[in-house]
Amino acid sequence: MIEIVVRKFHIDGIPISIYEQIDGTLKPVIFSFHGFDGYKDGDYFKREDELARRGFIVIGIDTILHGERRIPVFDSKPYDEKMKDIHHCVIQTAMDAIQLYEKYIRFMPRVMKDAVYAIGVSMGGAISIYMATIYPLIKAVSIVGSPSMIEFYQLKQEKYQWSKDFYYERNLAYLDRFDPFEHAHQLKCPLFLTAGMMDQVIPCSLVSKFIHPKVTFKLYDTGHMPNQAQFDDAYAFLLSKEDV
Amino acid sequence: MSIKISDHLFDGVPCTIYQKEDSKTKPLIYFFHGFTGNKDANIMGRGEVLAELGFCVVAIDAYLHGQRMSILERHRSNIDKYQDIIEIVIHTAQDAKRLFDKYFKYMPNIQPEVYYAYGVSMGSLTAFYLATIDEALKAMVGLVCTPSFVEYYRDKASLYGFNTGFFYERKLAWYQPIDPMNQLDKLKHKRIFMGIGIHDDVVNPKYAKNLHELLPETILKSYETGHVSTPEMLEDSYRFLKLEVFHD
Repeated sequence: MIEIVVRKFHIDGIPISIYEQIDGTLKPVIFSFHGFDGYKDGDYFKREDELARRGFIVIGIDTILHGERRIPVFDSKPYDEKMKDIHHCVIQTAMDAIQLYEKYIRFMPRVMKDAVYAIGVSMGGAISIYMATIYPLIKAVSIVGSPSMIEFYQLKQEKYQWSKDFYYERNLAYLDRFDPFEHAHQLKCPLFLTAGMMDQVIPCSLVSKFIHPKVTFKLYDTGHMPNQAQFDDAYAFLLSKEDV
Repeated sequence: MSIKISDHLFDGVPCTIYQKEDSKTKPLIYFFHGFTGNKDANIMGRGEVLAELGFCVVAIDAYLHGQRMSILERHRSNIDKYQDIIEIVIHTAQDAKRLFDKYFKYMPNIQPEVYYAYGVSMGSLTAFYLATIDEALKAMVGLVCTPSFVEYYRDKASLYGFNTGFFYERKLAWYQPIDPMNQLDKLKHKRIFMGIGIHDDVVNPKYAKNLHELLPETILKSYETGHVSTPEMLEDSYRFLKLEVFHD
């Protein structure tokens, strides 16, 4: 029987869940990032459990303004209004993850030093991709996430008919410094990207554009809701010794 | 002239802005409140006074405070929250730096090159830390203040009994290199006013005195009070800002 131990606590104001098998061996760490309007531990594909079974110490964290970090003043806004701040959530959460690792996690028992991975779905995929451009991960996976911040933001402006006001323009201009698409030369590790052929939220054309020697892209016959095959391929990619 | 007060949400950070209703371009000053406080209840008239001096005053809720308090945070005791006080300071300072760089300096009524900070108690520590991470912060006021991460945290941890264990040790190790007390080269070019209460038993005046000994160019004024901003302290802080910013 494989027993997975889950510890949930908050540190520095950030709620985290740690999933692991406690069998006396050192294990690599993988961050697992959820999607927009979601929360840690809330995915029915149970990727945290599966990754723990496959030998990782899995760290799930609530993205800022999400899960147990929700605040009424933000949460009460309409969905499309909240979407205007999506990249703040992406950037801040990648920085939170790096800080949590450097400050605490790397010093925890059973943690294999300097062996950090990331996986995420949708917005969580964007966090994983961004993190791969600013931190020396071993590998990263994005399931139906966008590697582009600027084009994604412009797409949402069109979709939700946001006014091109000061807030929109400043956010758009600010993304220049962070957009993984614009800073692809900073990609530090092999990256696996998935997209759904019928995805209306993150069109597959937005993902397939990210052509880079370190990127593996795979298209699936799905919409924005990923299927099991995407996770199975992601696990195979993470566990493969190639490119590591 | 009347003062316009408006509420905003930038990157999920609630801000209240105070400014005179004129067409002048103004220097921005952040107001940082204290531990367990919030941007509205703890400003106590200072927003209007600073706006009257000619500032665009931006009062922000500290991380995990005021309107940024999640349900999870609401259920924590103050002593439990105290364990994260330095993270609250760091996060709030990083917010202030980003918001100026991303939004405020592009507003037509705000001077884009430099800005100022005014912090009370925990808010003073936010201002000190911000001064070490942002060259654009030119001058600051700290009332009933502390510029110390490590020594202050160690003292509070001993007082409240959370001074052992893995997380405590890791926090201290993390704070050491970024402690404003260890970043004097970043502070020495800033203009700093510190007001302390000689009977303050919440924030010991020793931290501010230590900084003043190391950086004698800072202004340190002691007042016959406890952990309270007295009218005299406030007047001195306004006089300092008038001189430093408006050369008045």
